[in-house]
Order: sequence, then structure tokens, then C-alpha cells
Amino acid sequence: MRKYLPQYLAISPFFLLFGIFGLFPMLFLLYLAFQNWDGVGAMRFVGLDQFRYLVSDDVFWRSLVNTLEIWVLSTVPTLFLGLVIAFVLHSSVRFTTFYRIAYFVPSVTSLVAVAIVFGSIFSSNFGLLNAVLNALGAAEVPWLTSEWGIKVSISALIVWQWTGYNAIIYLAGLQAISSDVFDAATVDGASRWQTLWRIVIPMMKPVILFTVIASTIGGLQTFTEAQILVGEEGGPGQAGLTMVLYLYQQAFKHNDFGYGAAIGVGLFVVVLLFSIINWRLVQRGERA
Amino acid sequence: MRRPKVIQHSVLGLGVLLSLFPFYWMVVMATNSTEEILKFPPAVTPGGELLTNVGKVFTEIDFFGSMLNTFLAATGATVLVLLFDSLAAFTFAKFHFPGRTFLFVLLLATMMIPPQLSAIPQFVVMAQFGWVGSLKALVVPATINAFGIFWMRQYIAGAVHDELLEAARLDGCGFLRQYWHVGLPVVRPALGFLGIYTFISVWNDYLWPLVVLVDPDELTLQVALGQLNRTHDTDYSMVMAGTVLAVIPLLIVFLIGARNFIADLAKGAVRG
Amino acid sequence: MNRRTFLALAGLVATGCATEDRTGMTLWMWSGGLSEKVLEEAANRFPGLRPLQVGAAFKSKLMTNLAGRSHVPDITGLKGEDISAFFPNADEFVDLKTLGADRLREQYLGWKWQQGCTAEGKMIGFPIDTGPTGLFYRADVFDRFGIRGDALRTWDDYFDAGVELKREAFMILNLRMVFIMAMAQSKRQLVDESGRYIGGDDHVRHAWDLAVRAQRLGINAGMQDGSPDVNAALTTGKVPSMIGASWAAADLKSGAPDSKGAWRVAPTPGGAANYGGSFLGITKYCREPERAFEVITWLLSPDRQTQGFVDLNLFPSTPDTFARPELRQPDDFFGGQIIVDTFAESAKQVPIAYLSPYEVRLAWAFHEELSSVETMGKPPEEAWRDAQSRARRIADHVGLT
Repeated sequence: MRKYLPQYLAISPFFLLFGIFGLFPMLFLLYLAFQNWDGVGAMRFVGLDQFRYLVSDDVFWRSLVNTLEIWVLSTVPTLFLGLVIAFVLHSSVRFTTFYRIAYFVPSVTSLVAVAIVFGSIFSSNFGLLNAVLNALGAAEVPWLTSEWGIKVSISALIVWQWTGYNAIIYLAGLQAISSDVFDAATVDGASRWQTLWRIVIPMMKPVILFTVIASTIGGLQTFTEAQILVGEEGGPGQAGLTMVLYLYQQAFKHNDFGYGAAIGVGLFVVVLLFSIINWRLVQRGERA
Repeated sequence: MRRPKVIQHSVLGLGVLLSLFPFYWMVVMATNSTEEILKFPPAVTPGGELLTNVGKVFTEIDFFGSMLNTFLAATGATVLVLLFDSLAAFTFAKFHFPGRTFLFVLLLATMMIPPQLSAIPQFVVMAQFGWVGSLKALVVPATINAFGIFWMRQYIAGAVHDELLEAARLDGCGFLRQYWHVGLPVVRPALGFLGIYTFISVWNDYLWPLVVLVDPDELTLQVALGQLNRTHDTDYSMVMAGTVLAVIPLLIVFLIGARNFIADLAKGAVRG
Repeated sequence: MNRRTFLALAGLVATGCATEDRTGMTLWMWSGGLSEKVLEEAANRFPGLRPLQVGAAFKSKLMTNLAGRSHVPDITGLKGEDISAFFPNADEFVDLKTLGADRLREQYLGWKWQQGCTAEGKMIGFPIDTGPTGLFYRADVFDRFGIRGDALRTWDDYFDAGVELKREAFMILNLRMVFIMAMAQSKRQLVDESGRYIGGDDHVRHAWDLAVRAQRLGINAGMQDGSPDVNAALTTGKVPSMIGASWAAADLKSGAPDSKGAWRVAPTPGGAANYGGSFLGITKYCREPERAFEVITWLLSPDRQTQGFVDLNLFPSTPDTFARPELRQPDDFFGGQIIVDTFAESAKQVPIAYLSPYEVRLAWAFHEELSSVETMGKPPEEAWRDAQSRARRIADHVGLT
């Protein structure tokens, strides 16, 4: 054990705080999911009741499906576009500082303000997007009052906010690859595309893994975007009701913290599952 | 070689337009009156009401006082994160020790708890420590930045080569010196990003500071700005003016933090 | 952390402890819930009183602090839609009757007073403002069709008028509005005093049928509350009316400024109702309840309520103030009409209804299904059945019979 002392010491400050501020809330959530609690009165142990209600609750399942759909609709374009922008930025020399700031602005802008703006862009009868569609002779889309309109609008907001952010992450990853690699590839006569695909992407794998897992965890917890765009009820047909929105509604609006915690546990399982799948998917290429 | 650059710049330029458009609209809202932006058709170009709106923000809330609070909290958290998280991440990435995988998975697991729910137990802990209402309550929990550790671990795994560490070890470098001399210099861009990321998330956080700060004179900027959102009859122009003002310091922090990337890019430019 | 520490901490959450050393008296209110001027004056008048304005997420903060049982405010604002949810935990609040609230009872609207009291007679909320409803309408549009707004006394009148101007405009903003208002006109809600779910009864079916009829008649615009579409429609006259509470006048003024002068207010078709309004409560953590009560009664006295109306359009819960000149100002936005008179009439006639802790939660099932009827064309009968089964499930979950 002595051999590992420096390592344990190195992580100990972190894990000390972690136990208090990370682990305790997690165990508390689990504890709460077995109680009936309105947040104010006494807790009452109810065994598996909350989970029984959960699995038979069609709103919960709908919120799960909504969350996954919005997650796919937002994460795939975000990561792909982020990667493209990073490559272009990496090879382009002029105005890079300007580009960087321009792409970074969305991720630092307060979400509440952004949602007000997106509300007017997607507004059905008088929104900007429909005005543009109209001008182009295309049919108007009821963005915030139809099932897919709502999902696309929420996803568009997420893509807008996080693409540049992921581009910056990839850019940092690209910095770590020494220019020798690129030079060597050029000497070997490899095309740009081949260099990218065979050498750069595999070397970026750890960073890509990070973005994939981070967007899995973040994306499956989508909350504020939906709350502000379509309201706490999730909009018409509950198309915008995400899992965390449902959890929040049950716990803080209806004072049902026990059930809120049960939804939280459900969410935890889903996030864990998809994180493992994604981890496997990204890592598989590495071994091959 | 000229043609590809044209394509690249037009792709980037289009992205910039899309990226900045909502921000432009925020500026439109911040520089017009609320009447102008809510009426139909709304104003679409910047107006001349910016100073009026900013003036209203300054009278309604203690803008600079809360900005100072936010700055202190965000800086404190950033320093601690850079210190603790990079060391922990380095250890996770490059050393094998019993319990490594377990601890790492546990770490990732906490990211999966929605912050809305964990606020309650965290608040209880804060109350026990007597930290409710103080900036410590914002700084210390922000230190356990699981995203940060995960990010650094991934970056270090790819960027710091085992051979270098091995060489350092053969030279008689202990654990800490390997971290300091071999690890840190290579991971500067990652640290730059981690710093920016931490600073921004503390700066923009709303729910936790709202819950844990109780003194009307000691709020963070986002909480103070939140007070401008009335139940009815919100003055959106004023809210937008405050929001735009609150973003400016972040852009400055980004510029400072991004120096790391930019310096490296300049080096890379040679191969262009 | 070992198991014992964890259980100790979890136990703290469960059993409660307010150990902190507190000084002064805290008062939490959402922004715009009480006049800032009045709050400032109160802080000067009662040394040690520290009002905190909380913006969005007021409820999150209040619930987290209550759940954590620490730094709970001495005095807190309670929204009208939330207050009944606190009734099962009335012992977390000071019963205002024990502080002599009854001697002030005569000054306040009876139904509003009742809303702040539990079925057992404990009083946890002291009346702030109310939301008496009225019919807002565009006189210019109505005139062209020869419709008189103040002649629309029943829902039938209202819908008939809607059919008349169907060619040009939609009378109804959305179905939810019809359902909410029709329910607000009813003496019975979704749960009765004995804890029985009554959401399948005739009074609910009546409100539902009204909403569905508006859809069938083709007079419903189906717009989402608060969206830019609504503002545009109200400005252009595409939707020339809405049934709303007194506070909606402010939203109308800021959302449709260009239609100034065209609007009027008439009594609500189908009878008076209330929508919104709030309360102040004293929590059991307050160490000086008598003094807190003094603060509350000062803040909510008729004079301060008058000020609240002038500053924030908060409609008073004290009927004596309705006749004051500060309130009875001709309003240019409404063509010089003294709109307070209409709302005052409404305020005096609001039915007294029993509100269970679960009204908002159950009503959600109905709103949800109505929005499916409206936007996705779901057959109304199927929607009604689904609303019933959803509401029933929620009722079972929360332990109603």
C-alpha cells in the first residue's frame, strides 16, 4: 500500500470534498426514492411504491422517449459540426481569434436570454423562421405547437449553444497532436482525408470520448432549454417534457419529492446505461 | 492553395453569422425599449435606449457589488479546480493503483445526479457547516468538478506520453516532480480550457447560488439579474441590457484563458 | 463518510433542526409580488426587517430551504395556486388566528380570507392581492360586428358572438383559458372536503364541454399563453378578446401597446371568478411571531394595498379601497374606462370554493388533454377519457378516494 501513497495523497483532497458534496447527495437521492415526502412534513417509508408508480406512469416513459429523441437530435449535429469547425479553425490561420470568440459567445450567454430570443425565432404565426420560409415559398411549420417542431426547436437551441464549445474542446485536443505527425503523413504522401481519418481521429479518441460522454450526461439532463421554450408542463402533447423537467415539476411544483427522487433514480439508470454504451462504442475502435 | 482557404473562410463565416445572430438580437433588445420589442412587428435594428436600460439595471440592483461577489467566487473556484483537479486527473490518467476504476466510475456517477435534486442535501451540509450565505458555499462544492477531472484525464491520457514519464522516473523524479515537470507543461491548453470552463460555470450558475445565498446584499450577478424577472410586466429590455453586460467579463476571461491555444496555434501555423 | 454520519445527516433532513443563529427578520417575496417602495418603507419602519426579492425559481428556493430546515424565512410569500399544498403541513406555519387575525377579518374579502385557511380553521396565509376576472375586448372590432361587450353575460352569448366574427377573427385564445375560467366560476373543484376525487362530476364536465365547444365552433386561435403570437394577435385584432384576471391588463399594455385605446373591460361571461393572487405567511421558525404579524398587517393594510395597486397593479383584497381615487383612474389604454369598477364588482362576487392540496396537480391532466385536442386534433371524447384515467391515477398516487 505504501507504494501507492503519493497517488492516494494526490487524489485525497479531491475525494474528501467529493464525499461530502458529491457522494452524500447521491446516497440521499437513493434514500429519498423510498420515502413519501412533501419536502415540509415528516418522511414516510413506502418501500418500492414510488418505483411501482414510476414503471406504470406513461408520462415518465414519454419523458424518457422525449429526452432520448432530443438528445439524438441535438448531440449528433453538435459533435459533428464541432469537429468540422475545429479542423477548419486548426488549418486556417487568419482571424482565428475572431472566429474563436464568435463561436464561443453562445456558450457563455445566459440561457434565459437565449430562450427569449429563440422563442421569437420559432414563434408559429409571427416568428422569424416562418417568415423566412414564407419568403422562400415553403410551408410554415408550427414550431412550438407540434410534436416534432418542439423537439427540433429545443435541439436547435442546444446545437446553437454547444457547437462552438465542443469545437474549442476539439481544438485543444488537436493542439496536443504535434505537427510532426502531420508532416510525417504529408511526406508519406497521405491525402488530407487519410491523415484525418487514419491518424488524427484515432489520436483524438480520448478527447472525443470526453465530449461524447459529457454530452450524454448533459444532454440526458436537458432542462432549462425545454422549460423556457415550452413551459413547465412541456408544451402541447408534452412533446418537450424531458425527464429532468418532469422530475422538477413533480418535486418542486407539486411537492412530491419522493416521486421526484424516484424519477431521478430512473434518470440515473438511463444515463449510466447510455454512458456505458457510448464508452464501449468509442473505445471499440481503439482496440481494433 | 488559395481556393481551399476561401471555402474554409466562407464555411466559418456562415457559422459565425448563425452563432452571433441570437446575440445580435439580444443587443437589439437591450438597445430598444420593451414596448418596441414586444409590439408587432418588433424592432429589428439596435435602438438608442441602451443607456436608459443600463441606468435602470444599475438602480434596480447592486450590479457591481454582485459582480464583485461573482468574480471572487468564480476566481476562487477556478484556482482550486486547477490545483486539485489536474493533480487528481494526472493520477487517474497515468498511474495504476488499487481502486482506480471504482473511484473513477463513482466520480462519473455523481455527474448523473440532476443538480435540481442534489441542491437539497447539499444545502443541508452547508447549513451544518454554517456556510449558508457565504461565498465558501459557492467555491468549495464547485471544486469537485467531475467534468473537469474527466476532461483532464482524457486529455492527459492522449497528450502525456508514458515514455516521457518513464524517462523522468529513471532520472529519479518522484511522483510530484513528474506531475510538475512532465505533466503540467504539456497540458497547458487543457488547463486553459478547464479554467475557462470552471469560471464560466460558476459565473453563470443560477439555482445553487439562489438557494444558498440569503443576504440581499450578497448575491451573485445571475441571482441579482434574476430579480429583474418580475412575475408580470417584466422589462425585457432592462433584463437584456443586464445580461449583455454580464457576458462581457466572460469574453475577457475567455481571451485571457485562450492565450494558451493561440500561442500554440501560432507555432502550428508554420506548417500551414 | 461512514454510515452513521450519513444517517445522522439524512435524519437531520427528515426530522428537522434549525440551529443557525439568526438575527433580524427575513421576508421573501418574488419580484413584483409586493411594491418595492412599500417594502423599503417597511424596512425603515421595522428595524431588522430584511426583505429579499427572489426572481424566477422562487418556489425552488423556498422548498429547498424548507426541506433543508435551515434559513427558512420568518415571513414568506405564498402563491394562490400553492397555498393549499401547504395545508397538510399547516403546523410549519404560525396560525395567524392565534395572533389576533380575526379582528381584521372584516376589512378583507371573505372568499380570499377563506383561501388562506385550512379546513380545520387554521389560518396560514394573510391576503395580499387578488385576481378578479373580466372580459377584455377590442371595442373597435366588436363595434364593426355590432357586438356589445358588456352584453355578453353567459358563455353562450360569448360563443355566439365568436361565431359572428369568425370570418375575421378568433374569439378565444386557447381552450385552457376557457376551462380554467369555467372552473374558477365553480364552487366545486377537483377534490371535495372529504378527500374524494370529483373530477369526473358534472361541474368539471361542464367546463370541459365549454372548451370543446369553442373548438368545434371554430372560434379558437389555439395559441400558447405568453408567446409572441399572442401579442401579435392581440395587437392586430386577430384575437379581439380574452378572459383574464385584473393583472392581465398590465400584460396587455406591454404586449400590445399599439392597440391602445381600443380595449374595454366587461364582466366575465358566465359569472365572476378569481385567477391568481397571493398571501404572506409566518413560518414556525420565526422567533418573534407577534412582531412579524405587525409587519404583515402593516404591509397589507388598505393604505399599502392602494400603493401596491398604483405601483404594480396588484388588485387589493380590501374592498374598502376599491372606491379610492387612486384606483378609480380613467385608463387611456381602455379608452378612458375606469376598469377597476368592473373588477371590483367581480371581486365581490367570487364564489367560495374548497381548494385541496392537489388541485394544480390534477388540473394538469385536463389542460394537457385539451391542448392535445387543440393542437393535435385528438378526438374530444378520447381526450376526456384519458384525462379521467390520468387524473384518477394521480388521485390514487396521492391517496385520494
